Amino acid sequence: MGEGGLTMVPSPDQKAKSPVPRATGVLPKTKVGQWVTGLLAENTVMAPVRVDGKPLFRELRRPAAGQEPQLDLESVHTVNSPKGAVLPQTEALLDYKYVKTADGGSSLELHARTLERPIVLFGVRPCDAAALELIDQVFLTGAFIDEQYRERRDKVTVVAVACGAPARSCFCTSFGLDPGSARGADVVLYGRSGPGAAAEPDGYYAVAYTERGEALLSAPAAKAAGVTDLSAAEGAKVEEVIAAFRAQTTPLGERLGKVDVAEKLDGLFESPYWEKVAGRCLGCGTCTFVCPTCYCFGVTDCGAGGQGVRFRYWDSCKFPQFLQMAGGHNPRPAKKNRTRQRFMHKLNYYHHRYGEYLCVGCGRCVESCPVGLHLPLVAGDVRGL
Amino acid sequence: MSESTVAAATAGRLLVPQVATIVDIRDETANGDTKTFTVQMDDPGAAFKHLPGQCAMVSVLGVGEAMISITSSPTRGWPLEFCIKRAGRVTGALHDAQVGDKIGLRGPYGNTFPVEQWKGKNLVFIAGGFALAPVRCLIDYCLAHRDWFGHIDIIYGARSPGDLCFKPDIFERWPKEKDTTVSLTVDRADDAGTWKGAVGFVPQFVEKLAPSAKDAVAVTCGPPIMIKFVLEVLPKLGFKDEQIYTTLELKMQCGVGKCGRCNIGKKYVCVDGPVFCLTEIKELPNEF
Amino acid sequence: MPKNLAIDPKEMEKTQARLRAEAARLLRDGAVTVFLGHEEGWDGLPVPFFAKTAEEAERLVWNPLVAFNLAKYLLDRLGDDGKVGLVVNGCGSLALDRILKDRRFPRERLYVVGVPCTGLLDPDKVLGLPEAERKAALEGRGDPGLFLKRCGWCAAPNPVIADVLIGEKVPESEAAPGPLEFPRVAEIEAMSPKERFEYFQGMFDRCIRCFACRNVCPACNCRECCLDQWEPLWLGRAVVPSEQLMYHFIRAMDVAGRCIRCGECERVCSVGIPLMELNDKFMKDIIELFGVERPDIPAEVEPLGQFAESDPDLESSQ
Repeated sequence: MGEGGLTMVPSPDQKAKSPVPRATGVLPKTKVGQWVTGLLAENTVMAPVRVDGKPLFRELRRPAAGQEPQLDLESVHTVNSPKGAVLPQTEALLDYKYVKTADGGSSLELHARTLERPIVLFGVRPCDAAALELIDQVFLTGAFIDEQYRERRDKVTVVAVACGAPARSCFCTSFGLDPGSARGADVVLYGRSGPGAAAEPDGYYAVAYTERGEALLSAPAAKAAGVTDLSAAEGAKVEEVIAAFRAQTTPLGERLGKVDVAEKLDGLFESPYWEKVAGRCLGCGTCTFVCPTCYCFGVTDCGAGGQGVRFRYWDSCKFPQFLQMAGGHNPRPAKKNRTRQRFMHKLNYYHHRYGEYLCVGCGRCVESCPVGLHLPLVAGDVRGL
Repeated sequence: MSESTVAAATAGRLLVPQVATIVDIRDETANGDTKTFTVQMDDPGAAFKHLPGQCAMVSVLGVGEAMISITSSPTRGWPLEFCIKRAGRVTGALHDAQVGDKIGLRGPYGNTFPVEQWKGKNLVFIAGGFALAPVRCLIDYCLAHRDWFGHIDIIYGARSPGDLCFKPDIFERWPKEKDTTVSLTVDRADDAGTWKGAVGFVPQFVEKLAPSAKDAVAVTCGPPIMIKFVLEVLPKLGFKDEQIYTTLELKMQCGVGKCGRCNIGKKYVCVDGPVFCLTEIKELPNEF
Repeated sequence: MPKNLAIDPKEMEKTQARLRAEAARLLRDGAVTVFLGHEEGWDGLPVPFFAKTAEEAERLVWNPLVAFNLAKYLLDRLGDDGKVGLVVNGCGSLALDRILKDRRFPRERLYVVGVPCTGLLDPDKVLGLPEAERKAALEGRGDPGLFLKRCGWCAAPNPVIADVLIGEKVPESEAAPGPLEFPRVAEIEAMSPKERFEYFQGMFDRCIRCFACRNVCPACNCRECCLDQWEPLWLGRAVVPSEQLMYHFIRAMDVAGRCIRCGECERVCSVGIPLMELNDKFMKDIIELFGVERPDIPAEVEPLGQFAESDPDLESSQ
C-alpha cells in the first residue's frame, strides 16, 4: 500500500514536530450524522456511541432509511478505546483445514484472511489517535513487520475530535500531547467556538493533516454533508482556534506534571514499592483492555473435525496465567511481579526501545480501575521514591 | 499425500506458518518423553536457512504453537531436526503425531551464538538432559568448522543412562572428532549395572573435570537448577562472565517480538535471545 | 429504600479514630501481621490498603465511600504467617462469611473488626458530583439515590462476624432483613424466549472479558477457576457472542445459591453491564423453589449444596 495517509514511524525528531495542516473545511454540527451515514456506504465506521448510558467506541450499524447514527461526541472518552480497530480483541490469523487425500494421508491447507472494507474511525480523541502510533511502532518496526496488522492499518482513516473540556481523569499533557493534538490523526475536528465547557459548537473546523485526510474531506460523502471550504476571513480564525485547543491544560496532567521516570525506573526493579502497591490489584484485565496503548496478545487455535481458525486475542500481563509455562514454572507468580511488569513496560521497557512512553494520558485506567491502581498513581509515587 | 496449499495471500504473513511434514520420529529417552522429529518443508522454496541457537515455531493446527530450538546444524541443511520433550498441550500433541503428519512451521527466530567471535578459542559445552538439543546444533556447526577452534570439550549429563539424548552422537560420532573430548555423567546409574561411566551431577562433574578457562568459551544449557550450579563452578575454574553463554526460555506466543510476553526486563527472549552471554544476563532483572 | 439509611459523618469519624487505634494496637502487639482496610486514594476514592505497622494504621479511613469489599484479599494471605486483621461493615461481613463458609480461609487466622452500618454511598456517583453536592453527600445531606444499590436490601446492618465491634449497633427492630423483591427480573421473565435471548446477547456484546466481575466476587473463590482452564477448554478465548454467554452463564450458575447480592460485580464492570439481573433471577428461583427467604445471607449449607427430602424436584415432594 502506498505511503499516503499512513504515518510511518517518525524519527525522534519528527515526533517533536507537530503535523502541519494541509486542508481545512467547515462542517456544520447538524451535518455530522449525514457525513457518517455517507461514509457508511463504503466504509466500516467506528465511533463513540452511548449504550445504556455508557460511552462506547463501536462499529456503527447502517441506520434505517431516513435515520442517522447517533454519535456521542460530548463524552471526553469512551470506556473502551479505538485500538480494537487496528488490533481487534479477537482476530483470525488463518483458517486451517486438514483434507484427506486419495492415498489415505492428509494434506493441510492454510488460508489467511484479508480485510475488504476500509475503516473510518470517527470522533477519536487526540490521545487515542496518538496511541495508534505507539502501537504501530511495535507491529510495523523492528526485526519483523506484521503484514496483517499493516494491511488493516493501511485501511484505517482517523477523524479525531479535539477536546473542548478535558475530563478530571485526563493527563495527556503529561506525555507531550494536548487536547488539540493532531498526532496520529488524518483529520481533526475543532469546535468552531473554541474550547471550553460552556462552548456549544455549531460546527467544526475540519482540518486534514495527511493526504488521506485531504482525500476524505474532498470525497463525495463529505461534500454531500456540506463540508465546505473556508472563507478567507475564517482562515486566520482556524489557527487561533487550534491554538486555543492545544493550549488547554488537563486537570490530572497539571497535578502529575510531565512524566519523566524512565531512567529512574532502571534502578527500581527490586524496590519494595511494587509489593506495597500491588496488593490491591484485583488481577483482572480492566486496565489493559481499556487502555489504548496496551497491545499484548495471545495466539491460539479453535477448531473441530480437522478444521478451524488460529486467532490472536487480547491478553493481559495482569492475569496470573499470562506467563504460566508448561511444566509449571511461572516467572511472575505474584501480584507484585505482574504489577511491576505492567508499569515497567509502559514507563521503562517501551521507552528503552522506542524513546517514548507507552501511555497517552487518556485517563481510562483512572476511571476504570476499581481499586485505584492507575498510572498517575505509580508515576507520581515513583517520582517520589 | 504431500499436497498442501498456502494461499498466495498468506505468503510472507508474519504469523502464518508454512506447511511441513514429519518425516521421521525417534525416541531419545528410554521413557519416551523426549523425541527427535525430522521435519521437511512441503514447499522447498519455503525452507529457510538458520544459524546455531535459532528456533522455529512448530504448530499443531487445532492445538497451538511452541517455540522449539533447531537441533540440527545449518551445515546439514534440510530436513531439520527438533528435539521435543512432552510438557504441555502442543508438545503433547506433537508426541501423539505420526510420521507423515502435517504440521506448521515458521522461522528461523531468535539470535545466534556468536561463533565468529570464538575463532581460535577452546570450546567447552556443558549440557543437561534434553537441553543438549540447542547445543547439539552449535556443536555440529563448530565441528563443521573444526579448524576455527582449539580443543572441544563436550560435558553432558542426564538423570539416568536412559535419559541421555542423542546417543549415537555422544557415544560414537563426537568422541571420534579431532581433538574433541566427550565426558558423560548420570545423576544415578541404572539398576542393570551396565553404566560404566561417571556418576554424579553435572556441576560437580564439571568441577572435577576442571576444563581450562584459558582462551576458552563455555556454553551451557540445562534445567535451571543445573545452570545455577554450573554458573557457580565456572568462575571457580577461572571463567569470566564474558566467556560464558547460555540460552533462556520463556513462554512465547508470537515468537517475533510483537505479543509483549517473553520479556525479561527490556529484552525479549524471542528476538534479543535466546542466546545470552552471562554479562547480559547479569544486567537483566531476576524474573525468568 | 429503607427509611433508616443514613450517613452520620460524626459517627464515622469516631469510628475511623477507633479503627486506627484498634488496628495500631493489633499490629503493635503482633496480634496480626497485616491489617486490611482502606486508605485515601486519588480524588477521594478510598482504595484497599494493607497496613503492616502501627504507623501505617494511621492511614486507615472509614467514611461513606468505603464500599470496596476486602474479604477477597484474604485469598492472597493464605501463605502468610500470622493472623490477618480486617475491618468489615455489614455487607463486608457477609462477603467474609461467604469466604469462610466456602472454607477458603481459616477463621482462627482472622481478627475481625466489625462496624455496624446504616448505609454507604456509591463512590462513582459521589465523586462525579460538583463540589458542593459532593460535600453535602459526604455530610449526610445527599440524595437518597446516592446510596449503594445493595443498601436498599441490606441483610445485615450489624456485622455477622466480629471479634470486636466499633460503633453503635443498629437496633434489631431496624436491622431485621425483610423479603427480597426482584422487579427487574419480573420484567425480563415477561419477555418471550427470543426477546430474552436477544436481550442478553445484546447485553454481553459489550463485555470486554476483563474478569473484573469474577475477581471482585466473594463467591468466586475457586483455587483454579474453570474459566481459566485450557484442558478442558470450558471458555474459548475468542471474545465472540457464544463465548460471552458461556462465561456469564457459567459464572452465574457457579455462584447461584451463594451470591450475597453485594452487586460489586456490576459496580466494577467498566462497561456497565447489569450483571445482577442474572444473579437475581437465580436468587428468585431459589426463594421460590427452596423456600429460603434470604439466600443472600450465607448459610452453613446452601440450598444447592445439600440434598433434602423436601427438595422440589423429588417425586415425594410433588
